[in-house]
Amino acid sequence: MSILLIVHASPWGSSLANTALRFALAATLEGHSVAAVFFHGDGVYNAIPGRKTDPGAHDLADAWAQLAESHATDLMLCSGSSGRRLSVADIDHAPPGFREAGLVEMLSVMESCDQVVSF
Amino acid sequence: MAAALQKLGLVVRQGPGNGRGDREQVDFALAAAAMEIELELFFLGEGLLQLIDTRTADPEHGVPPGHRAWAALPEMTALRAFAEDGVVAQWQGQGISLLLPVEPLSAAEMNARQLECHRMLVL
Repeated sequence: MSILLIVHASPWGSSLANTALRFALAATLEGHSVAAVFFHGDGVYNAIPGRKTDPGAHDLADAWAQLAESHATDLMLCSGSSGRRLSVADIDHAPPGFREAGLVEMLSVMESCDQVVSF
Repeated sequence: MAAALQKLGLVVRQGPGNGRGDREQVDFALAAAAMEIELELFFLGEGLLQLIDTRTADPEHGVPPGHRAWAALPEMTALRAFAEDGVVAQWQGQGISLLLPVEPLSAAEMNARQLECHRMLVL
């Protein structure tokens, strides 16, 4: 089964972004394909690396990048959302695997995936 | 096997004046409409405030332009908009004008319509 994740949640304020990552990792362990993750709204903050984390907690940007590298998951930052929230430097320093993408492209990916899960 | 995206349901819960995200709900709908995907919009709670016709853009004070784009959607794709039946009745009684014709639905009716959509997104 191919899955598109849509992440609206930032890494802070709630645990949803972390839950999205855990869902993605669990899905891949079960043999499913997480074809893409589309970060929308405050979700684009997941791409900012290097924040201090509590022991045992994920640096979400690096964790998403590892998912992209190991499972060929496309990490798509909504260009409108990232333009409103991130600086050019933020986007340039995002870990490998993150790229800007438009809503139309995301809808095209949605069409080709079996399931869409939003966080 | 993935099915073609024929009907997309969008649940709009966020009201206007939402800071950086003020335009993102209508942008989502516009992108789908540009692809001629049939839309069903479900305005819940504060989300229905997005459609108030008399809002005036005031970028200097944080009210960006573009909210009237909701009214353009029916020209781009097949669309139906729904809201909670009690709220629609109350607003109609107060003469509040909306940018889209909105059909009142109960919670059970909304659930039934959402199940008929190929995909559902909550914004």
